[in-house]
Amino acid sequence: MPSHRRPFVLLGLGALLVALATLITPLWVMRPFRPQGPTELAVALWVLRFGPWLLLGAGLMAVAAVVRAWPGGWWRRIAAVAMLVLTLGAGGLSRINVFEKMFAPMPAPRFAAASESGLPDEAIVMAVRVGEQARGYPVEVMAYHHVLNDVVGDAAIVVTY
Amino acid sequence: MWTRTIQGKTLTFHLAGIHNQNFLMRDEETGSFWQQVTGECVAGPMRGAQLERVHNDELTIARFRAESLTGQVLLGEPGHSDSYERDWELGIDELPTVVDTSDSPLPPRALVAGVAVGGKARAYEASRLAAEPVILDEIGEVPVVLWSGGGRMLRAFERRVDGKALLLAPADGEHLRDAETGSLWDFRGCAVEGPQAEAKVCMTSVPVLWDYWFDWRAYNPETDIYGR
Repeated sequence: MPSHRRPFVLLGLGALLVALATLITPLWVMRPFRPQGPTELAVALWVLRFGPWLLLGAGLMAVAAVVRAWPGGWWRRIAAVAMLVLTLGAGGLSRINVFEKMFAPMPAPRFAAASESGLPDEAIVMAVRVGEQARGYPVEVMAYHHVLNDVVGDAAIVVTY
Repeated sequence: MWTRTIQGKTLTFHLAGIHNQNFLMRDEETGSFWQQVTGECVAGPMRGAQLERVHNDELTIARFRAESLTGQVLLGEPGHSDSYERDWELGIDELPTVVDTSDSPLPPRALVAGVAVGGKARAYEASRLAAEPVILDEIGEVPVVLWSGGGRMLRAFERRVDGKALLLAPADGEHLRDAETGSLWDFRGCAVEGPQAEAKVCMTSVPVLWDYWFDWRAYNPETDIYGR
């Protein structure tokens, strides 16, 4: 194997590895029904925080691999472009918030008078009062969405379940 | 439930992760991560910050309506009605837990009402609350009353007026009577008849968290259990 071939392969594989790690680390650490140790949780949250920078680095490496591979002929071009596409694919997937895919957010909550909610009398709501304004959040709705940003009276609150 | 204005910023939260079966939220404004059950920032620029709790009660909609004539109720999103289950807890009881509670007298998914006040935490088993709808107790030298209004409806109050602890006992289905003044107190914790009513006295609410035993204990390691 000629030695000038290796830099583009290493660059491309390195880019792909970084993108895959960015995608997989948080999902793997924060999968349900298992405990999260403090260190692994810190690593997963670090990857989430700095994911965009990791992906920028991976993208630049993958592009550099294509540039290096280009003069070397069609097979090298195809290999380098394939690694670039896979890197971008993994990077794109890592930007999806799976928790919000599972439990959709409620960016524009709607409310009705308590007598017009359509819920049976025994349904349970989480009741809040701020000044004169009272709001009830049905447990059956919050148990699915889990997080709701709202404003009651003059207070900005986050309802959690 | 938390105030989302902190250090002069109003944050917008999203579900972002999971930590020992309790959700993590992330705010848009700073990108910090917050533990949902404690309101504590665990990672990111605001690490160490603590959200302020907003008092809330779990009430039946009938009770909510009776107490707040102009109250509003959140409507479900049209596209997600299949995901709303009134009895979802029946299914979740079967799920595994990841926190070891074998050194305690309760199974991990025992439903408890947790109260933390005066620097102490105490768990009340749901079965115990059903059998004993009015509990006079003292937690961390704070006299409290836990009052079950049927089902999951439970309120806790600091039963102290002008520095004196109230001895409360059920008067009828809807009211408690205190031994000192004979005043009647309603489920909002307010005196509605007798000398205390004339002064429009209401007891101070104490937060109650319905939770699974394993989760309550994970965040309140020093908790004890009422009656055990």
